[in-house]
Amino acid sequence: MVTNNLNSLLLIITLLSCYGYTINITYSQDEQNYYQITGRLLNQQTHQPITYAQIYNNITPQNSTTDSQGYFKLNINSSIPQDNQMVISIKHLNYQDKKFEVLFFRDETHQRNLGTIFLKPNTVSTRHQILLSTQDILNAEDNQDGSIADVLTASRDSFLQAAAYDFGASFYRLRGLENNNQELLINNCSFKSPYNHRINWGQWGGLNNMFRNRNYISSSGNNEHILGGLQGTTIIRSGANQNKKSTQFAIANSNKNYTTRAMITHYSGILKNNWSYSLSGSFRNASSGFKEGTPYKAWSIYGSLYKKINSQHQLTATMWYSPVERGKSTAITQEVLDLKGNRYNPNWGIDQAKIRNARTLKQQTPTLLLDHNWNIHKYLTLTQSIQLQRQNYSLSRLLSTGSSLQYFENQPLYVKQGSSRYTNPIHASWLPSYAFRKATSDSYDYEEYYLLKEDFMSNGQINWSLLRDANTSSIDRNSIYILYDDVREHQQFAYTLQANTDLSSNIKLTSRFAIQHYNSKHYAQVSDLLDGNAFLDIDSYGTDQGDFDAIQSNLITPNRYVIEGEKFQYHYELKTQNKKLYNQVDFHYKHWKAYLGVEIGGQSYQRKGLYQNGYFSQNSLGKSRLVKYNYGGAKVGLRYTFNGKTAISFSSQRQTQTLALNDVFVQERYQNETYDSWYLDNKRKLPVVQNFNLNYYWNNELLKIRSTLYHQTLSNFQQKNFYYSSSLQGGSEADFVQEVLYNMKQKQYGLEFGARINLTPDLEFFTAFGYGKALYSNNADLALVNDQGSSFLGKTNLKNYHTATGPRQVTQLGIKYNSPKYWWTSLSLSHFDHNYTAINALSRNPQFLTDRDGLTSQYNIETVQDLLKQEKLAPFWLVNLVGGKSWSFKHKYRIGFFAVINNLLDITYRSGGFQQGRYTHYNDQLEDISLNTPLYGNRYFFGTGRSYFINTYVRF
Amino acid sequence: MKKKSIHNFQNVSSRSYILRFAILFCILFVLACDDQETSIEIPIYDSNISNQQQQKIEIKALQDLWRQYQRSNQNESILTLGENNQYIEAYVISDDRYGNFYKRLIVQDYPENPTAGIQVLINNNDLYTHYKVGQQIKINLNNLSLSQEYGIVTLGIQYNNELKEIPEKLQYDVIDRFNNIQDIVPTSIDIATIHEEQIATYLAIDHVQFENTQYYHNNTFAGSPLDEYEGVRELKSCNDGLTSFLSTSTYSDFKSLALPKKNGVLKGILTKNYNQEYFQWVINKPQDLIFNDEICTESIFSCDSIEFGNENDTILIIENDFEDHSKNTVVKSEGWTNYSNNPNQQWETFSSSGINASKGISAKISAEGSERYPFIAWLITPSFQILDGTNTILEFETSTSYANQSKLEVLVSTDWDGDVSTLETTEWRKLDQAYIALNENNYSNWYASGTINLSCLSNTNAHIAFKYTASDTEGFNGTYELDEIRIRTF
Repeated sequence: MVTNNLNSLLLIITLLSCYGYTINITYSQDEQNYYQITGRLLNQQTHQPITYAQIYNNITPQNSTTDSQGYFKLNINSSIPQDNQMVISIKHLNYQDKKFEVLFFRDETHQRNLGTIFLKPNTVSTRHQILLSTQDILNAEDNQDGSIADVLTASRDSFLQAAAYDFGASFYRLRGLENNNQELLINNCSFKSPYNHRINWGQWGGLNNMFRNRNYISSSGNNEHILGGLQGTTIIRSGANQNKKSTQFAIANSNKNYTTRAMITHYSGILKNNWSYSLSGSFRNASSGFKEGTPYKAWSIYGSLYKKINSQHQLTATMWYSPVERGKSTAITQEVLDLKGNRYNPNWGIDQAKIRNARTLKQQTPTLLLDHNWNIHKYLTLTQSIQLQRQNYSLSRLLSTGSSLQYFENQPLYVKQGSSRYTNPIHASWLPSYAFRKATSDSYDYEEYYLLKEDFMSNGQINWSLLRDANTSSIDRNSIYILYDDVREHQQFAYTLQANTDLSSNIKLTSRFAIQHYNSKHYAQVSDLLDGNAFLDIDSYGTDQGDFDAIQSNLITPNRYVIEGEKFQYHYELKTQNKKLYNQVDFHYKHWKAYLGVEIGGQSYQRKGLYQNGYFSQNSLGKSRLVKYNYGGAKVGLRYTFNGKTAISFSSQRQTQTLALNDVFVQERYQNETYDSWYLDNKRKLPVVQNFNLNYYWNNELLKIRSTLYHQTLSNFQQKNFYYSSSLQGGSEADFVQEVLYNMKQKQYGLEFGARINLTPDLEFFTAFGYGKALYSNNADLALVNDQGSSFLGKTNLKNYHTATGPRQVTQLGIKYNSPKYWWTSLSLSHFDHNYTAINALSRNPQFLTDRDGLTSQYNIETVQDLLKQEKLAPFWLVNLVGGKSWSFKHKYRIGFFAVINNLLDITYRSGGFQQGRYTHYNDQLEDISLNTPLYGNRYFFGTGRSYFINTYVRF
Repeated sequence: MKKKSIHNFQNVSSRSYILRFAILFCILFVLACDDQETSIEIPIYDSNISNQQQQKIEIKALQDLWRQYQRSNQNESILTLGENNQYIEAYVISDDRYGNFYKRLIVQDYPENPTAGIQVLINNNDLYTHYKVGQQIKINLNNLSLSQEYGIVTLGIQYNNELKEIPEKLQYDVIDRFNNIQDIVPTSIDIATIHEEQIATYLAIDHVQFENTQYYHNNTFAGSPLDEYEGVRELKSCNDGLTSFLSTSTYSDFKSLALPKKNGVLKGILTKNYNQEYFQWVINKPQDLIFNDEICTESIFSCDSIEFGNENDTILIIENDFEDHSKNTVVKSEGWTNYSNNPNQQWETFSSSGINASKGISAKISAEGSERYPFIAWLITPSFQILDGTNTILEFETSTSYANQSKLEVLVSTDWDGDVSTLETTEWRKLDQAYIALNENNYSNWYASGTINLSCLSNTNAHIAFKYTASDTEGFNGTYELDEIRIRTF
């Protein structure tokens, strides 16, 4: 009866993946209730046999394991029910899972040899790639907004998956670290910005399919290229040879950052003469994203050419270009959220009948990558890469400090008129709470409250026409309010040479030399005078001091009026050069694997001022001295595999870190001074990081576990914050300050745990749990930097405060169903706790309790403790739902869709926050906190409400 | 395949059943969640008058209304206009671009030759963006209130018996703008002719200059560390010798500029000081001082310091303690000249005890009731001659009673022929070493002049004059008392 249903003639093995290729194998046998599947597993990259891989099927619990040569033989003593294909799953701890559908037709053999199967080392599971590519790019683009988790990590590891897709909704930072601890290599070239050590994920927006071949190696793990970041290293291979011939059209719809995305991707496969090419283009658009007034416009093109000259030489040329223009949103207080909801964004207003966002980000980054692969010998491979990149990055901002210069009796008279109230719709004076700013309130305050509330509810946006009116009625029609861009243009050139040598069958040597040149130009540029005639380029805040040289942006052209398109305020160039050499030895035995990597390098930095700033007239123009630092580090790793099921590993890393370019000069916009002068012997201590990781792996057909204990220390770190404080000098001074914390130490330690339970091949439970601490571990020194120079305020009591790196306790529970009928769905429940707001350091400095005359303020110790307590944000739950389905036509076309609904229950939650630096003195904070609604209370980032993403595609 | 589709069909029907429930549930859910906020009604200022014809009134009428109210309700500081359909039309004369006006708009009734001005408080510090100087506006008086600040009749909103600014967003309901923008022509006046009705109007005074600019605390508009909220600087008119004050906000952009050391025209708005005791001027911008002429200087008389010898051997040359007069009579001493530009009001005697006591019989002068703008009164000694080689000194005592901007000077002339018609053409030099009681001195005390050396006047016929300069307007019509005048030689 059963055998009637097994009318097998063809055996179709379909890889359930976006590649969608099929392998047809025919065979013949007679036994009805006995099936045998055989094959061999090899590492796709190294072509080495894969041992201890597990082979499962969906019919019986019987399974098999590959031998030392990678061969497997799976015997199934069962009949196959009607309408049920047999699904063969191949699993290995270090490799991507693979699934095959095997169809047995009538009268055909029950023995199948699947031949050689290549497994990809620990890259993203194919099914999740699409998911990943939307979510993480979306997150990445929010980077500057703060709501971020651009952990571009993807693997079958359920903890990392949760971190990438689900925990990201709440600022979750891997290992409690800032995101400048990640590394990214594309075709062996680093894409971590030398300027700020961040990875600009936005430049790959819309080209998801082309950067799909990803591999994430966790902190101090073996990535075979570099020492790697404390948050791990992502390795991407991109190029025309990365896929078989295929074409895909996809249309996506979302309510998060953009509403529509259209994307086309084509891989040529291998053509005549061993050429391959691939092309991709996409367009993303929104009149507004989830937050109001955030228009989005982006397009991308990508092209890659691959030539296999012979078995020894392969060349790839890859270029892409993805201009993006989008309006940003900002953090708001609880009061604002309560009045305007979580879609509210104060950054925009109606200007001449159009939505206009004052914080518009524009970015263009054409990139060219050339790489050459040279298999010199069976045991020696040489790869070289050249990276060329230009970037034009600008972020607009409204300025309210316009002024006019007049002369009275031969004396200069600077007339300034603007107010930041009109460029900031959430300025404290617009908010209803402002009515109760005094300790006692009367009926006028209640009416003021009512009026402010009414007004804020019905307006609360930038009033562009008022700004234009002010400009047209100002003195000489000089602009008081302007829109300008902070522009950063860079050019980057990098060359990498890597040699991989097999010293013996067990020992491998990797050597990598990389050189990187980076030059950038930085300036402010007037983009819109808003109906005024010109803008006077001075620091109009400083005019009261009476030093009319100091207020000049550029003493060479004092009191210059600038118009649209002209540079003003600051103008300088930076350059940095980096050389480094990395060597790694790998040992590979049956149960043991070990590696040791050592890196040494040097980096130089230089600033060249093009303006002579009035405040720093002696040290702003021309070149700074060439600052050079040498650095180095090492890592070591050891792994013992008991059998295919259990392994433990230990790894550790210690290194001095290079400095980001924006961390070298004290006030890079205005002067050449470096932080070296802050240290003894005039030499800065470079940051030192160290970590230890202990991993435990368990893997069988039912259960797959990864568990990690980590401990990290960071020392000699610096942290910069910018804010306006009106509590300086015991409350007697107010100024914009740059707060620098230096000689800072942090430590992070904790546990990561991820598990998958496959009850049946179709049904899977998954869970992830992370718990840890991320703390300041010393009392760092604090300095305030402003126009007048730096003032050193000494030790600041930061020890044991939490760093604001997202929730430190995250828990996820999920269930996933994979139907053999090409649909799947997954539901996850995530819980977030132990999330702390960022503290203001100045309030933890003795300044906090020092009066203007230098004496200690009168204070109540309990009140002080209360005021300085770090706020712990409320825990919350989020539910995400994901699903997809695909159909196949004529074995050639595949149509499918998948959909993601994030925050299904539309919960409003605080994903992060920070203490405002407006009041940094005890008396001021006490006064503010005694109001019903403090005027300068903590500000929060609020999570996105329910959002969705639907992608529909056709592939052939 | 067929089987499948049937199966699917059954599924669909049961699904649609579930769907209906789901929709119903969703609707209930939405309804339940739509909780209506219970809000408390707050009495709100409302400027709109429905279905009523509006009635225009003059600013002057509004001022009269306020003054009448103030006269009959002296304890009240605010008059609420209540619901009404009245409005005023006015022209903007203040300009807050230079930061010298803060949250107030000053308007007058006509662009030229105004008869009255008024101030409106608006909670907005960039009024220039909306109201240009010379722009005609209409102010709806419904529910506004009146009070007085800096001597100016002021419109605003009443809360707790206090006049507050019209909230920023409500100003558009209260004030309508016209496209009509006129040139505001300042009315030319002299300090002596200043009067109450000119408050809050745009005026010009010619031939004025700043006094005491040689002192650090006075040489800028308002940049001295002693200036709190405002810098008040003394202005002197070379026409009538009277002084007035220029007040500049310490938030103005020009507070740190040096005052011009020249003489010329000032264009500005007349107000009073905070306590409404005397007039002061506020300018829109420093360029409204057009000072191009050389400053006018007083000629000063002074001799070298004197060596005092045996003072017992002194000879009185002239003495007048007014004790030979009866009280409340015009001063008529032998050889003395008592003259003013109003024959009915001259230096006269008085006697009083108590807090503001006289020294027996004393002389006093005031411009009040003189109806002279300015009012000038002289009290001049008989001619006297000082012999060469003798030491001659002058002594006298003075007191003030609310002197305000009125002024008493002691002068000397060696040319005067004794004829009152040549008083103004004769050269008089100021004895600026003499201390004369100031407005801010205690009114009940008498202040000695100190000994003023006249020795270098030798061999001439000299006159000493006490010259009172004032005007019959509030703030300029103060009283000076004078007594114990002695000239001695030794």
